[in-house]
Amino acid sequence: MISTLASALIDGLALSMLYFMIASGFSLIFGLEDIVNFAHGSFFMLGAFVSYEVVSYTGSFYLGLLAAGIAMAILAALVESGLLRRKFGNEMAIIMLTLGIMYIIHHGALLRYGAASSTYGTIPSYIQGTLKPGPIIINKYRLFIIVLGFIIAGGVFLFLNRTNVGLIVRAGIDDVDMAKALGANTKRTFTLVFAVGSALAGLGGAAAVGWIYASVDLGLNYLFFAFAIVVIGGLGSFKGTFYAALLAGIIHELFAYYIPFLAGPSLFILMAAVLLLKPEGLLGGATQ
Amino acid sequence: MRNLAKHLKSNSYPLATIGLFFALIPIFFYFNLPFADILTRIFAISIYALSFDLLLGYTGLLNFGQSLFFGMGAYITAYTLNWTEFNFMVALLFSLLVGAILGVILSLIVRRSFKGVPFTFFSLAFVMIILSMFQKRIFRPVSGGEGGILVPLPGILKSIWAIRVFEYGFLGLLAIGLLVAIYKNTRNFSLLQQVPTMLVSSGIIGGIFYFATEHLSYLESAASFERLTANRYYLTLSFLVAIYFLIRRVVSSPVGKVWQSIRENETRTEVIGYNTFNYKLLALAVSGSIAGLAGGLYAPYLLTVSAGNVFDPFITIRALIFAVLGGLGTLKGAILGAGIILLLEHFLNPLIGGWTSILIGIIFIFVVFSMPRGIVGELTVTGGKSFREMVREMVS
Amino acid sequence: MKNILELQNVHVEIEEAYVLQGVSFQVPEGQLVAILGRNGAGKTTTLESILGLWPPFDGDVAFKGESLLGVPPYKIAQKGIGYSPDSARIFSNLTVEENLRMGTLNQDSADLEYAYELFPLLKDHSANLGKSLSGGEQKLLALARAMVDKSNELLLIDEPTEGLSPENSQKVYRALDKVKERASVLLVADNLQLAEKFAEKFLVMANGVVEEKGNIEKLIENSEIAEKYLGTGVQ
Repeated sequence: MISTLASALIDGLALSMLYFMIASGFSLIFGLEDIVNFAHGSFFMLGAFVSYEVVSYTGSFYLGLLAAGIAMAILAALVESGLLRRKFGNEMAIIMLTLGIMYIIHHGALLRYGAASSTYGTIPSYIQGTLKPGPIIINKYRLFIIVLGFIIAGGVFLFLNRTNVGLIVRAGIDDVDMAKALGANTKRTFTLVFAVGSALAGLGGAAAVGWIYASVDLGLNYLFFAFAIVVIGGLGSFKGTFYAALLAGIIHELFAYYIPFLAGPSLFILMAAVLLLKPEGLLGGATQ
Repeated sequence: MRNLAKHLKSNSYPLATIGLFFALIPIFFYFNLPFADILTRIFAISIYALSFDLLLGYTGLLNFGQSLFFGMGAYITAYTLNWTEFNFMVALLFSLLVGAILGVILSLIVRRSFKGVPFTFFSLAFVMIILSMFQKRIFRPVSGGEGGILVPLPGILKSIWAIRVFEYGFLGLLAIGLLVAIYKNTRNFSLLQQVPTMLVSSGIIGGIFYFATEHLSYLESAASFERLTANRYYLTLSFLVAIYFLIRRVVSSPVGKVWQSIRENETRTEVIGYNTFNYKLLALAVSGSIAGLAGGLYAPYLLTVSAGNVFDPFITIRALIFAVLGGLGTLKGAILGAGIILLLEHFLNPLIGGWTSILIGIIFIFVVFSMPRGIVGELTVTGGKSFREMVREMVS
Repeated sequence: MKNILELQNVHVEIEEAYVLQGVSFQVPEGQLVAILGRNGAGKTTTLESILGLWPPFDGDVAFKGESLLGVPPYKIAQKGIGYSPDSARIFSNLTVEENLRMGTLNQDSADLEYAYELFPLLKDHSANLGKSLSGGEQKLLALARAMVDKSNELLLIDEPTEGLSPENSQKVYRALDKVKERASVLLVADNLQLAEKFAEKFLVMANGVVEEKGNIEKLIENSEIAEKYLGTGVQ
């Protein structure tokens, strides 16, 4: 009884962190330039495969995570400066471009990996197996995802609140034209945010490999999860994204353990409900 | 009568005749089943892409849940054929109605965020909820589970009389088209010139009809799957043509004008005194019914309907790519886009396999980048009406 | 006398509206120039086109003799131009202090003391979110944000006392007095007194063009100008 609940909560928290890693970048990118990045889920999926390949090749788990983050940051910076930047201000063209990139990444991954799912052959021994304090069983890898997620959340929070660039990001989310008029180079800031946000997605994908496996499906699935999380948390609100990810992940796993047929749609039901009842997001509006 | 004369004078008439002629080639003169099948698929998908263009290209609503209409249309047709005595036409009517109803329901639910990104997200949520429910065990009786439900072959597709109706119908249209075209082009000829032209043309038409009877007698004795292919081809083509002209009519009607002005600037449209919600609801219902019909037409092609193959958001993404590639808000573009991409896939897949899709992605990005209006849009630049001109038209 | 800012025959179109139809004027160094005119005359657009937010399709804008055409807004601001928009446009999810820091992006280290000196009440609110301020306080914050960077040589200020209480207006007056000593100012004046009190020069805009300009004395002496272009709406 208590052990089921504990497992549901641990799994829920771990899922929350994956949700957070995909949604936080998506939310910042949307907040700053109103760009709906349809390729964001593809960066998550590609991060998973990059990490999987690097780990299989080198045997080093952390090198895999690092490689996923860095590779996605570079890819995103190229996409942003090579393609998206030239169509700024044209919302529809940007959506189409990111969609095209998503299409290419999706089919490229299908070409290489097909319908197979892959997981790491080796991960460090201290995150394998389970912990058993009393009646509770804790999967160590999921615990690792939780710790990683909280570290990243803390890092992003500090970046946004303690640095000048973070200040410009938050100001830009409020009113990007005013930030420009005050001398903020929002374009350069955006490139940075786009790269960092995509790196977080890649890192999330890399972390997911050891739990839910790397597969091509991750791309579209996690893109839609990101949509849902940012809607629930309020578009462009970083704290909102974090709390929404927590809420959605835990609800999903509670359903998965107790009312399985509602687990799949739970995130989308939550999203639809928020759009209907509180379109500004659960945490948008009155308090940030 | 005057209306008819006006129609005959218009440019589109000979074009339609030529189009009809080409449309008959694959089955008629060059009996190639796989190729006819790929064209059938293009026609059905084009109908879906048209429904998408109607919504995005004319009303400015990006519906990421468009596959809900398509999928439900496919399921409804499958249900009707499986569980009732109704024929395929009635099944398609049900699919169409369900599409329209779902469009109305979606509009009513989403009324508070009926524009831009929130609408896109909401429509996606709607289809994802249905999709993930349909994949669960407890919905197996309606969804058919992983394997989906079998679509029995509709009788009309197997029948010989349907082929007759289609063939003679299309040929009749073609003959009339040819005669009118020839008459129009020889009106100013002298009698001496007219007589041989008429002789030659009636020879051609007679030849075509002779060919048709031969062809029909072949089809009557042919294997049933050949009849099926021919019938499915004609049927889907007829629907595509009918729906294309219907939508073209609707988007140039006053309602269509309001849709376009909503796309350009919703607030201003509201200020002029239009209840934009009603117009968007109508757009979603019309688009939903067409997408539902497309799903119904596609069902016999799929053989089995499962949640995974009819609700898949990738269907919507592909429709988006077709419509954008051909040119949003041009209608022809949606058909052309579907044609180009599906033909590319048909011919290139055997050669380069999965690289085809990557190539398509690159072509798509190239078009978005350098041809913002899409292929048709760039070829037929009309200068585009300004918002003010549109408003003036609407008010007057 | 050198001009810090010079507009020559500036034309601006916003969407389909032809908003500025050939605007020319100069701001001499160290002076305060007031723009007057009715709503829709193009005053705010003039400021925004100087900043590059609505780039002119014809004409030239020069700051310290250097053309600003084709320069992105943030670089224009970095050249030493402060901006306070008419509708405040503070960052509502940033604290007061962070809002002020956005005004010091050109400096290596943020020195906010000057802003608190100009508007002491902001110091009490420094940790509060921008949106928690009253409308009047937000307006003061926007002014402080434009003025906080002492290295700015030109300030573009749009209707600073519009909708403010008399006490808050007094605070704006005091701040303008102080700022005038070290920077040139282009001020969209929401009333005649404001212009008469601070401006050396004035210009009157109507329908996207400059109708009258000159030394402020001309405006004070010729009451017809005010009546003709500003009507009774301006007391």
